[in-house]
Amino acid sequence: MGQYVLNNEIVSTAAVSLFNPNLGWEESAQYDLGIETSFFNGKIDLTADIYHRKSVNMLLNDVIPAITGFNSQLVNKGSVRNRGVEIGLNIRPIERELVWETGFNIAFNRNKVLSTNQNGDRILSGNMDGRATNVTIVGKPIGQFYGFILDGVYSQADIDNPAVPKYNGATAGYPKYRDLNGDGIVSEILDYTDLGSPHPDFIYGMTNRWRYKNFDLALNLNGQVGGYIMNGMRQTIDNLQGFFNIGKEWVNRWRSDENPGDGIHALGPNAVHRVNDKLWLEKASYLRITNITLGYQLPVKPQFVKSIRAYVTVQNLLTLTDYTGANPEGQAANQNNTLVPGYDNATYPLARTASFGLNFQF
Amino acid sequence: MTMINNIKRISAALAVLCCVSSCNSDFLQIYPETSLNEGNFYKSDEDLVALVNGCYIALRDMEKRDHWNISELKSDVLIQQRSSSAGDFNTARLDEVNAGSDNISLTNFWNISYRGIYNCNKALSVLESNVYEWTNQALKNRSVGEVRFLRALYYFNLVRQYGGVPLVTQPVTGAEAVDIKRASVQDVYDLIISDLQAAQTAFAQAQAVHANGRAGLEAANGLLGKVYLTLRDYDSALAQLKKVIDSGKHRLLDDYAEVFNPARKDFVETIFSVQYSEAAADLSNQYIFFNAPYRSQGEVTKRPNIALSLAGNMAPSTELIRAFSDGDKRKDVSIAFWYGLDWDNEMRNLPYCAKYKSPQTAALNWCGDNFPILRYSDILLMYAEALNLSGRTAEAVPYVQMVRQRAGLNNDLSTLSQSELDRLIEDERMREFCFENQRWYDLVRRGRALEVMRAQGKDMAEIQLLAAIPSEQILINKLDQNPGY
Repeated sequence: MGQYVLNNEIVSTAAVSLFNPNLGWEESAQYDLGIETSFFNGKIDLTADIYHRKSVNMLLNDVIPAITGFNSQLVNKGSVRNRGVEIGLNIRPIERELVWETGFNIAFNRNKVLSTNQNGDRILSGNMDGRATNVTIVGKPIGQFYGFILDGVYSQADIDNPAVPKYNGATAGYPKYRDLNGDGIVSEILDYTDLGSPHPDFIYGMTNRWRYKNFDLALNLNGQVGGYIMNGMRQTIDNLQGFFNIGKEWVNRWRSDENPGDGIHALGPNAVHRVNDKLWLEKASYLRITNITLGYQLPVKPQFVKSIRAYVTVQNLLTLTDYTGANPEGQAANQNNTLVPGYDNATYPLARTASFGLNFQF
Repeated sequence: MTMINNIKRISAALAVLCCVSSCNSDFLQIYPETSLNEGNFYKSDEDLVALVNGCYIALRDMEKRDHWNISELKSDVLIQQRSSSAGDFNTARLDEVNAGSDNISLTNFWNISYRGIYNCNKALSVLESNVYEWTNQALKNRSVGEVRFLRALYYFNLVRQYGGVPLVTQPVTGAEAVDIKRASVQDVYDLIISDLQAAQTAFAQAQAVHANGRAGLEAANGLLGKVYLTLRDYDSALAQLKKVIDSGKHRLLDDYAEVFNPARKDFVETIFSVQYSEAAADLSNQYIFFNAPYRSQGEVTKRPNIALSLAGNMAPSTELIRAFSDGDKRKDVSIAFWYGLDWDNEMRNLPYCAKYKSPQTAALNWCGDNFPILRYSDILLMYAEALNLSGRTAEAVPYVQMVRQRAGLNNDLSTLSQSELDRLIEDERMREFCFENQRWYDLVRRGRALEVMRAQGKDMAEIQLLAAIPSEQILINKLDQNPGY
């Protein structure tokens, strides 16, 4: 129910919407093949899984002509295939006075959109200043990044040359985008393309525990390799609009044909720069020390107490990544939308916490 | 263990990335109201009135900003500041009259217009069916009139912007819509006229239940007059406009400023306006917040807590400011000045649109000024224009005088030739209706857009007389683009 107002008096409105009486459950068929085994007297445990899952009748927002009154309609027509491998290893390489237990796991997943609606139309998703940020195309993974191919910065010669495709209003120093459909004009949507995948090649994790005499040490890591992340924070504020603190790369911006800078940082108004292009795409690979804990079992203890352990633990000690945003995992939970993976819209950074403690066991 | 769990969770999330179950809230959130069963939903007159009320929402939404960008900003009365740092590229392209098919305001305007048309079609299909027997027949007539009026208004805006557009007169599915192509301009106008005539018939039997803020009989008469004037059918225009004048229901307010007083909303001179309120974000407009000079902080908006990041990049043009002669009372109502820092850090007297005011009581940027669609002075000036162009110059003069006298201008117009009066009326309309989304349409319908825009230094191409069809609809609806884009 919505509202309208008539001479300051609020009246209710009945909302109406397209409805699809044929909506049903989505279905998926999955095949799994797994092994679980151990070697060398249980020193090494191995688990491995291969899976293949096809989901059909997926609910998706079908793109429909705006003259219906809507830009999308929920239908049951999508299908997606996911397949992958997950491997886990638990190893106890040393079990003497020094004990070392370690575990390693790695997961590869590949997803591919098999169909959308009856026309095979692509699905646009995400929203940056009114523009879609991701696209779902048959034959590709879900939610690829979507935008212009940035070819540099227009020089005055480009502007004067009618053979160089441009968008209306472009002047020397503005970002130069590729005219993909070849109509001679650079247009948003019409010349947008798939810019890369938000999905990692693989993700991995590692656990370690050492014990020596009264000391114990644990070290846990995880990370991902491959995939891009769109830095929505930089896309919003890293521009020459004049309101924000900006990156030092802008020192190398285009200033004139004689002083063209790094060929990426243009001198256009901010709205051009907020268009999706490679300027905001960053590699999402990272390695994080998620936890490190050092403990010490006190040799003396009062009566009635079984043991006392003193420890210090640090969560999220360190993240090694080229990503300049707060958290390269921003993509995991971004915007709560499956179709907008990898768009980091100012995700809250992870806190690093250090704690000191004493454990009493009675 | 935490780490293992995390990894498992991440792996699980990736593995099921695409296999979201049907209860994912994002997939469903656009779709919450549809489970009502129409067969038993409409139980009272109020239920159907609520359905009709919904037909106004698209109008309210488009007039907040998008329509402004593609008509007022595009015309010569507003200019956008251009520097490497100021302003939004999309609106700049509209101001420079070179927006293309990817312009976001043009896209929004298309989408919102058809959302409104869908609402009208849906309401009309219910009103015309027999799912419900009305208790109050006058309310039914009023409802039919409103829906027909609003659908005509949506199409009138569309055809003036884009030319022939797809004609949708009943709810259609996505699959059906793909086969609906652009109709001819003539067909669109035929629908507009038949809708407005149907609205007139219906409103005539609903006079007792007319309410302030709703479209009514005089709005339908006046809009039909404007449609005929746009089609240069002066006799028909005169007949419709005369009905409004003869009805005696509307008159000019003595004080022009009172037309724009949000504390005492006008329904005397204002025949039809989009209704806003400070009660909620959805219900409000933000005119003062995008018109206030960018660095004026709270001095203009009276709300220093609201950032003006997108404000101040549009300002009344020098041409408009100079168009007011000394003593024209409309100037100070329409345009105010704030002295302070400009974008380039120079101190200047910066003009801004002052017709729409800062919030009365709302703490946020929620303003309640109504946005006029049709005023009595518009009726008078259209009537005068049609008379004059029909060769009845002497008869036309008094109507122009009425509007000018209210503005404090009393000079004798009786010596003007037909073409001089015609030009005066055009200028009078600019002074009277600046910032009311009239100027662009006036220039185009009078065949003056190219001349005026180029005189202002805009490099306007002739193709810009029609706006580009949004690119997404070229792709999805397979529509033909207007020539030149």
